[in-house]
Amino acid sequence: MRADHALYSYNYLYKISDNPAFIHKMISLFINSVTEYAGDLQQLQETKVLHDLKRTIHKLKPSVLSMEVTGAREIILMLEEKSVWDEDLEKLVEQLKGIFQQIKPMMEADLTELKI
Amino acid sequence: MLDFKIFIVEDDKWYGNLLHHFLSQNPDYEVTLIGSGKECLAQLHRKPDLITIDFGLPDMNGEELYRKIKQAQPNVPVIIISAQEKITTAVDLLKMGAEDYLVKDENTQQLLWKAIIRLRENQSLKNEITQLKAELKTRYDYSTSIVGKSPALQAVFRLIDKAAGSMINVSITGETGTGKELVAKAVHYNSNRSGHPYVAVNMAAIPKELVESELFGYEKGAFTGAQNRKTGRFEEANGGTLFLDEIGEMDLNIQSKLLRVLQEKELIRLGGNSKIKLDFRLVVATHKNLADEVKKGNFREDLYYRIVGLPIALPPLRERKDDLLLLTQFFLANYCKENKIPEIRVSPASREKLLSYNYPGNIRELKSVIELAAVMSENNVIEPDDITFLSGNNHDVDTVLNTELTLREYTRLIIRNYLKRYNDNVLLVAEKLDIGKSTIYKMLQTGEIEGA
Ligand SMILES: Nc1ncnc2c1ncn2[C@@H]1O[C@H](COP(=O)(O)OP(=O)(O)OP(=O)(O)O)[C@@H](O)[C@H]1O
Ligand SMILES: [Mg+2]
Repeated sequence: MRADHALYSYNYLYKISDNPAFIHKMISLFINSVTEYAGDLQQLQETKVLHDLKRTIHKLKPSVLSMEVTGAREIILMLEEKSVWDEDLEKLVEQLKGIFQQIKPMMEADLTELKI
Repeated sequence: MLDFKIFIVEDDKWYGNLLHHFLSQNPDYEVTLIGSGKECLAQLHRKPDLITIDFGLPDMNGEELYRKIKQAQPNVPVIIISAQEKITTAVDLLKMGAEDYLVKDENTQQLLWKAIIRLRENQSLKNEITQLKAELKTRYDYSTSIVGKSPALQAVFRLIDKAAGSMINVSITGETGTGKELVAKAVHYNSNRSGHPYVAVNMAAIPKELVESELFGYEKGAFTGAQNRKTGRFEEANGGTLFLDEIGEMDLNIQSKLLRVLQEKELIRLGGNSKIKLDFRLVVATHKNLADEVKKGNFREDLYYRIVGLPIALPPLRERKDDLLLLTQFFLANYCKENKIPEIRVSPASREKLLSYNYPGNIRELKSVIELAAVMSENNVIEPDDITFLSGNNHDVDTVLNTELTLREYTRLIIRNYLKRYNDNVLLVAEKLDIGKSTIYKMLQTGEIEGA
């Protein structure tokens, strides 16, 4: 399995461990998280509570940045700056959700490739 | 060393596992990942050594959890880890006593790693300091329990310090009641063996035939009546200090056995055959002049040189009258404290009286004189009449006459003594002393003397 992908990277994980079991565990945990986050964002698009959005962003930020998910960093930083729920913000949320949905099956494929 | 227990409270499983993996690389750390604030509080009974909390937990925020942890366990260090860089929150938490505040980024693990190492260094430093303080305290306590400002006693203090700071044998000489035992204890409890046993054996108090088994111990069946194995006092003192009091009373046979033990640093229990390693500091005391005893052939010369080590000679009380009033205050204060009564003063005339006496029983005698005077005193002042020097029987005519008392005091003393001897039989005492019985009755009535 390659550490580098077009949309994300496992470099960070490989940097801290060469134990495949650990890598596997972290990737599957990440898949679970992005699934959850995509769901949360979906819900937020309806409730439109800025405070809750910020919380979710804070929650997902460390792992998403560590996995170097392409495009996510910029979106997260912009969302952090937001103080009103506007159209611009809605667009960013939608984009982020889309990224998560897009990388999920790719990572799942990586997992089957990763022998442990 | 025991494992260092770390709780990681983090609801983001990905991040939590990352920290867990990272910290578990140190085999000394026992790391537990906990998903919520409530769960953390429920686990506190496991007494973690460190808790890291994620600031943004779903069930309670970091500050709330921090407060609750500190309520339950005020001393446990807490490190806050947050994805937020909101500096005011950080400052507030640090002010509240949080150990550290880390922002989640690619350096967090390294920072956490370093923070833990720093924390543990500080803790071991703190432990060391408390330990040092405790030691200092006992040292200090000892120098306050041995009272004296006279140059003679100051010299003794310096010798105690020297002895305590080394493992040298110590020999203490001085008349009865000068504080030999007190000094022996001070040497032990100020030494770095203070955590080990202090074993005191008074050679004058053990029947001659039992001395050997008492010191060496015996195996089961070593002699008739040896139903169980008994460890001797030498062995009991292992690692610590053996105090042989009244060493001058030890008979020559035991002296040679003691010498062997000191030379070989090992012994064989009576009736046994295996050698037991010994390691103790020997402190001996005697009121005799051992060098004279050596000349007289009562004490082995070779043993004398072995045990003499650092000699500490305690001056008799009459040679350090400058300490007398200090000691008087000390014993009085202790007496009042123990009996929970208000402070008792010593009138100037009483002071004169106390200073005029020569105290053959030294400090032990002064102590009982003062305690008796405190009992006799009224209105919290000790007057000369409250002071009685010789309560009885173990003092000879010589010391009585060497004491400067008024004739009336002598009379009182003698009558008291006789009353005691003849069970308060006033008629008999009057007859023996050839005085009128009314003299005695009058003194009893006025309280000048009490019945036994
Ligand atoms: N410098 C001192 N300060 C306070 N108390 C003292 C001092 N010296 C002796 N004492 C007290 O006097 C009493 C007698 O002391 P200790 O038993 O040490 O004397 P000793 O020399 O061993 O006497 P002996 O030869 O009769 O065994 C004890 O109660 C002790 O606490
Ligand atoms: Mg003694």
